[in-house]
Amino acid sequence: MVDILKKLERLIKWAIFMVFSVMIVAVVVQVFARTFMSQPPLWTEEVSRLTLMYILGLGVGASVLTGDLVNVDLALMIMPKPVRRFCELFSAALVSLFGFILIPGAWEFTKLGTMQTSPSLGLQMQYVFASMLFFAVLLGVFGLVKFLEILFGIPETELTPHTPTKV
Amino acid sequence: MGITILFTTFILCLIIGVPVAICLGISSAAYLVFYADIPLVVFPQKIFAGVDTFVLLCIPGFILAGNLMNGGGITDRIIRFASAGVGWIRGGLGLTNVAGSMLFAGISGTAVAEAASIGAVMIPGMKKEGYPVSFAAAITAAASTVGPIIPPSVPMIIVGALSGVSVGRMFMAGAIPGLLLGLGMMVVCYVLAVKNNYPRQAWQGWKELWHSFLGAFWALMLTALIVGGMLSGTVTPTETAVLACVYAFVVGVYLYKGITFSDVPKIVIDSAITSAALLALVGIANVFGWIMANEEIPQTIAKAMLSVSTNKYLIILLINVLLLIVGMFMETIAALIILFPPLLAVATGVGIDPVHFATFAVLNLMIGLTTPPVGVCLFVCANIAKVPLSSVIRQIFPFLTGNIFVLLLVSFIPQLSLWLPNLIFGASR
Repeated sequence: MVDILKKLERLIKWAIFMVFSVMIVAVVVQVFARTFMSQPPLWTEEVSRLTLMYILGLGVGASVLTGDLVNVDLALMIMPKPVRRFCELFSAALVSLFGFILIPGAWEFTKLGTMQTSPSLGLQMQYVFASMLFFAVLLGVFGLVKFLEILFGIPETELTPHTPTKV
Repeated sequence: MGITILFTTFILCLIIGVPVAICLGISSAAYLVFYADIPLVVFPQKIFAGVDTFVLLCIPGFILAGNLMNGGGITDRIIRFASAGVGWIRGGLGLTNVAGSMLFAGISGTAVAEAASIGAVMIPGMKKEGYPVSFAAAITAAASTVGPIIPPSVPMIIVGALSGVSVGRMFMAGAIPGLLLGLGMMVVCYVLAVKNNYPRQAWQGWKELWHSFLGAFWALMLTALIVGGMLSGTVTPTETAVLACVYAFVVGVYLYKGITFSDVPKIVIDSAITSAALLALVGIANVFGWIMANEEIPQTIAKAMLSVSTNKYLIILLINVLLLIVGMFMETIAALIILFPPLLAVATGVGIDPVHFATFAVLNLMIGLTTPPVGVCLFVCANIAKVPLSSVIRQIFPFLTGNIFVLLLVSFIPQLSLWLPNLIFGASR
């Protein structure tokens, strides 16, 4: 099970890296074209916004495990250990539940995209709206992973060692 | 009834430690399902609409640029330069800490990243030189609040996305308050250093100052690129953020050689995950904000505040007190997203310029990063220093007082935030 999750995580990270790289290339092309060409391409802004949605959709699940999705642990700190553990378990379960209950709505939203195309790329919007489906599914799955990690006492470093950068 | 469901669920989730973004999501979902009977398809639609904004591309851009520069080893270079400049004054390492944070602020748009980076180098260094370690942790935490005030600034990008105020204008509005904040902390540090007879370093000479400047030159040029790009008007803030990534990559890999090609994917992925968490907060808060607007909560808050007084200065004071209290207990970005729209309505209602309001609101909430009991920068620095939080809290009070004094100056003297953006971009509307 852990092996499958690790493979899934590697795949998602690879996809995130590709999406981020595409975003950088699109914006650099936009600046270059506007500065040096008479007519800059129209697709660059659309591509960069599409990649932003996929950074959100693909990255949010992993952020549950890394601690980037911040919580306020003031009350937790003063709770007795068993109560704290229960709250942490319940909290992870709620994250997962929230992700899973969004899936039907995200699926409906994705289907709405079949009737629309993006103005400059001509891309069917379902491929863009599908970022929200990834958002819901990965939040549900990684919330569940977090729940199982706490339940079975799996060390946090087993998946995604990472130092969060908060604001 | 609807409002009760919304806020009770939100507070309960917050207490048991659910991530803030998910607290907003669950409470909104509870409202939609149990009260409004609205299908949940509206949820992904609203999240999508909240994030699908070109200006929010700045967030991953500036986070990646900051992480690339940090990975490239700029912290040591910036601290060496700051030390050569101010280390010879009484309390020199404390001043170096603040100056280093101010320089770092021009590269990073976040306070916690700044506290972690500067703290990792400065706290052990100050301890070695004989400073009380809790003082070292306190000054690092206090100085890190400059990060999101001096441009670039992730909170100001979010404010720009929420209010439609130009991000470039917001960045410029933060410049003078950021410098004032830094200078204020330097004054406090100097007074404490004289009082407690903290050590000073020997003057290292103009040669060291010049060499350390050359060492930090390419890092400092990133600030010049960011500010210059926006001032020139040739690139948007989003484009500046992405160009900053390219620049940071070249500096980190080829000039400073602090990172290799193989390090880059991890830095990119970490930055994307951090950005995704922030974007999730923005997107889900958009649903929460939509419900609040439907329930006319912003108008109710505005009415309640304006019923107390319509005096502009009293309203500024009330807003500041409210934000300081909220900042003590709540995660800053979430507080910003939830409270900014209703308070903006109050502020504009009494004739406060939106850019001015946004500047003191962000400054106020950033001070909240160092106020007990929930001050993330305090936790980070106490953790690095390995001292009890209570000892850092005691030491941070003089700096907090100084920061609140600067906050009051910025709040009551609009020109401190408006003069520079108006000079560069012209008066707004």
